[in-house]
Amino acid sequence: MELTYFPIHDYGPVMKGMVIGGVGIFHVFLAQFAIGGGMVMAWLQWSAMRTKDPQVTADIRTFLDGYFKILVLVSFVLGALTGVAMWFTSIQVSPRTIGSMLDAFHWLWAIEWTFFSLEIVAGYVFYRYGPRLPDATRLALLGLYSIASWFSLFWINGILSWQLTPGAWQGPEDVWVGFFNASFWPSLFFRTVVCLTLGALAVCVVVNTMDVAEARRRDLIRRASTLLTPMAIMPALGAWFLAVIPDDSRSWVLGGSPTMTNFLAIAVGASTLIGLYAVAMRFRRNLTLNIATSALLVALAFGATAGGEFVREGVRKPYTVRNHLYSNSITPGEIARLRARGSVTADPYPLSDPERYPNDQVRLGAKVYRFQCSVCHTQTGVNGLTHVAGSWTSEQKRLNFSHLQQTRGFMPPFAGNAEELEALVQFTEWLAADEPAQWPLSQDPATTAQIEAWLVDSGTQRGGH
Amino acid sequence: MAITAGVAPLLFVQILYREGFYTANLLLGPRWMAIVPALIIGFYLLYLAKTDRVRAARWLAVTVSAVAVGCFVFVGYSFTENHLLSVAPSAWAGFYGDGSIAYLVPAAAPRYAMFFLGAFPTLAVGLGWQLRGEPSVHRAVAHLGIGSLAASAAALAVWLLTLPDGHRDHVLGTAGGVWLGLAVAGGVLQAIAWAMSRGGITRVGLLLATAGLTATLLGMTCVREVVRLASVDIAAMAQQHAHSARSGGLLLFLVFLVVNGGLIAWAIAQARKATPVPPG
Repeated sequence: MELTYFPIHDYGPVMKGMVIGGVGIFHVFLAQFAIGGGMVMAWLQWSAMRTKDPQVTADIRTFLDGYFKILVLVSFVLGALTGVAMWFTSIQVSPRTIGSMLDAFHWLWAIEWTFFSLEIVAGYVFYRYGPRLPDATRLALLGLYSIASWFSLFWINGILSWQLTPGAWQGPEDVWVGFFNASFWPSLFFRTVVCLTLGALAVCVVVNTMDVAEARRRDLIRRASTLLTPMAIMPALGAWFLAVIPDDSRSWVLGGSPTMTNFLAIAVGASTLIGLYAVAMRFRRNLTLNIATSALLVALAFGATAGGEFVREGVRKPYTVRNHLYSNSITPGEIARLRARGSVTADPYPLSDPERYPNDQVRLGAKVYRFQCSVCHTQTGVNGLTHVAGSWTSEQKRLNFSHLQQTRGFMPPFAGNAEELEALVQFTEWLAADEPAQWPLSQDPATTAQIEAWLVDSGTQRGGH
Repeated sequence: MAITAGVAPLLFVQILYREGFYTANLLLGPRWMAIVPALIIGFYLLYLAKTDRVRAARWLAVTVSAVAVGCFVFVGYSFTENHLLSVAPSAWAGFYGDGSIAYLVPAAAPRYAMFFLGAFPTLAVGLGWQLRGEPSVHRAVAHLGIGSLAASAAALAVWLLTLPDGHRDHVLGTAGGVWLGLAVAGGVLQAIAWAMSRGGITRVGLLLATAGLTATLLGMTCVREVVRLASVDIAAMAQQHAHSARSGGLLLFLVFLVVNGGLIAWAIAQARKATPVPPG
């Protein structure tokens, strides 16, 4: 596949990962809640049909016909729209990554679309006609909704987990090798438990808003919270996931990267608190979930989702598709060629603010930054160049940029020539100096020769851990 | 359902016309992304418009509906703008360098007018099926059908006249002529059906209008692609298309399309089991 240059936007002090992370976490939380909500409702409908107490049956029906309307409104509209937003945001951040995912799996994505359509129709028929349908039909529709939404997760999970553990996948013809990858099953089971947890907790919040007697409310909560039980296997599933991901990725979440370790701790801590409360409810019959507690647990679940998704995205570094595509949309095989010809020599897009820069060398540095760095770094904002490299001496910058993959194990190799690297050094120093109007050119042949030697020394392969 | 149905073409446009589609998305940037909140606001306003409180106050109902329509008009126009930019590679670098956020070209108005007005014959068919049990509105629906067909035909003529010569030749020539003919024939069929329905909508009339609409939609979809194919360098995309075509899963997709299509039909059929709503 030939390298295609796309126009790249600058979001000022905001890192692009924050944009896609914000939309992504919201969408994942919403989508998993919609799947789990369907499962919990199918379970309650089944429960209503089994009980011999007509009052319980009536309570469950009342709850389902009221609660489901909220669920469909939230999941159908916001879920569908944030799904589209995810797609568009992915294009904004890394068009080549989303393009690779489509190249490899477009028919599986199309299969997912058939399940999503089924989910929408089954849900809408229940929403519109549920209160006037017999119990068996209600259960069938809810079952269909739950199965379809779970299969939607099944297909998307395969594509997302492929990004981290593609294994022996080499190209689109290896579709099933890539799909049923090493982290597919632990990830799928883990997400399924998360869905059930979110659904059950959300049910508990809504039940607390119903105008029913305390004893009947407790009964509904107890039935719904039964679906918190699978949380017991979450630690094992998490350990399974950690066991199958690449060694370097595992080392970062287990202490190698403080940021990722902290986010993992947030996810584990929040999940543990929810799990402990669920266990306590099993053993203390007088313990229940009032609206404050259940809302707090939902908030904790959101925190756990956010932490988990951050870790899942973070451990892929420096790739978006492990071993196949670096975070900056350059393939490992293109590094050598770009070092020879220059990474932005063929970039057709000019700088949108060329008058801002003092000379052509800094302008070249700005283009190199835009092409190679801006997907993960800002200039002076979050994870800014001036923060991570501003205090380095010029010599340090030249050495570290040329040995980027060895300087930091989660960075890709520098993919340009010596002139571009020096231009990036000058751009970074100009930024750190508060963007003066005048800036001297750095054109010492000895410096260029030293950078070239360092680039040769660093190689074009990925660095150590 | 409208959003869900739109996902499939969104998927394949990224395979078939990737560079143009992605580049237009990126160039329009936040301005393009604004369609997402516009859709969210538009859809929720439609839910709001159905509530008793909003329906009780006429000014509120009109305001809510107008803002919702405004959101959808904006989304539709954004797609037109995105498409026109996607097929104009010579404009990309300049557009980026200028920091523009809107692609305002003369071609946008006739193209958008044609697709915007073309939505109303579809609406008429939908309303016809939905309201066929209410004779008092049949005449109005038939007039909507005929009137919007006439407006759509006029917009189509303007669009054809304003197309670049090379593109118009493709539409009227071998590649597009058959499809344009199908679209026009479909329009004629709809016009006959609505003329028959002015005294009252019948099942036969609706079936005729639906068949005509289907032909028009199919024809115009193909005409649109003929214009796109005349605008892009399809040979340059051959390598990427060949790469994508190596991906497996087509057979399984067809299986699930049939199975899940059947289950969707079954779910819709369950609505008939619902007990009728008591009168009043």
